[in-house]
Amino acid sequence: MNKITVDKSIINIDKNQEINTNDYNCNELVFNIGENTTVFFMDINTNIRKYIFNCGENSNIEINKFNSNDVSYSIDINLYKRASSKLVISTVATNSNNVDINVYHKEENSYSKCINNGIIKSGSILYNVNGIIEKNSINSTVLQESKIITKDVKNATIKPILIINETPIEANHSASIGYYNENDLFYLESRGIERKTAIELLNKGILTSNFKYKDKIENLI
Amino acid sequence: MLQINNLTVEIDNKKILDNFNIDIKPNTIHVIMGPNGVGKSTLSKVIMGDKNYNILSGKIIFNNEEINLIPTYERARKGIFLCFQNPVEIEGVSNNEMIRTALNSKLDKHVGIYDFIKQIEKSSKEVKLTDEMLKRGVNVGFSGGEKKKNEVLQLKILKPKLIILDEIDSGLDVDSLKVVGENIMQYYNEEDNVSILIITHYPRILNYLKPDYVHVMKGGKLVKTGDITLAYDIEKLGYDRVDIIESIDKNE
Repeated sequence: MNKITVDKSIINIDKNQEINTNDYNCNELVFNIGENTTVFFMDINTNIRKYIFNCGENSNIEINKFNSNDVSYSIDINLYKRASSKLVISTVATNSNNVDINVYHKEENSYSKCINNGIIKSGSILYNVNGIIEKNSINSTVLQESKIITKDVKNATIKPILIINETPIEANHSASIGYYNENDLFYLESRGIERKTAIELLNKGILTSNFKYKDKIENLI
Repeated sequence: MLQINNLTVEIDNKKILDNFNIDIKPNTIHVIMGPNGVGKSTLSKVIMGDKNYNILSGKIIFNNEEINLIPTYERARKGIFLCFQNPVEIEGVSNNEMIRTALNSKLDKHVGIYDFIKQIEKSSKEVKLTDEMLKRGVNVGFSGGEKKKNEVLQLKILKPKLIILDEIDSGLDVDSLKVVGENIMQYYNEEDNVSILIITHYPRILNYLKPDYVHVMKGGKLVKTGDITLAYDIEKLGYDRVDIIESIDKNE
């Protein structure tokens, strides 16, 4: 039976579970995560364009998202009191990829970490990463790490932005764009590994190291 | 096994090796000692095929084949192994995965996972590295001594014929030096036709690896050759004093 694509799906979650977003055929996905709930999301090569995660008090989410199908999308995460989110995004580009991430810390003691890793084979990647600490989000933590591997830096853009409206909080961001480290390649080659294979190993390392289920994406790289 | 004839090498228009010569026969251990900046580490990288260095003249011959233009990975597959002075850390690529890929590449076949695990478990125990460390990214979170042990682990698995030890003793405490030295010597004694080129400042590794030849390097070339007593003279007198002895030797 063919799946029917709907414009928007809203899913309420109030018990701990793992969710494969590939089960949803829609343009926009909204998850309302209940208090004290832990949810792991796996998302591989979907065509979903917009995600919203509303994370209730003391909830905990982890999202592993991999795309090698050149799709642009946005992710909004709203974190309430003591909620935490870990977002891991890996992108392999052969065409244009625009990724917009907005993490809103709405209440105190909330925690977010975004890890974005991209490899440009051809095409381009734009990571727009916004961490917003709203008023009353005292003692929150917002962390961002983004890296894009490319031969041509013109095709890669990272915009790491932190908007801080409360103190004290902890905020940290890093961004790097460049080609593989030549010392790493020389080391691997010195072990008899051909340059092409060495690059495949490094790609796999960059794209899968933060994934819970590495084997699900290894063959897609 | 390895002959280097009249090798002159530069980097950034600066000559590092100047008409360098050495002849390493099978089943021999050579040591090159010398002060900082005389080209010792350059030599090891040039033998391994580091493209940052420009060979102006001369030949590197390994097992009767000139390898000047052969890429690094092919030199490794032919049996040259460089133990790095500062091994890199590679996040995301596990030691197990890297070593297995290297072994598959060298043997040009897929080594069965069971055989590989058996082999690496045995060798890692011998160099005192834990299973957990093998699952980590290459050298990630390793101490200086653990990195050197990991180099020795790799050589035990990949079974090279020419081992180049670039300051293998730097960053090693007494116990780690013993593990590293004894494991390399055991490999040397057990395998046929293996040679070792040790590059070092200090003779302490020579308590475990007994050299046949000790060379002193200065100005991009070897200036003196002797036996192990030369290494101890250097430790006792320093490189400058050894120079004086050399000139007295010549005048006599």
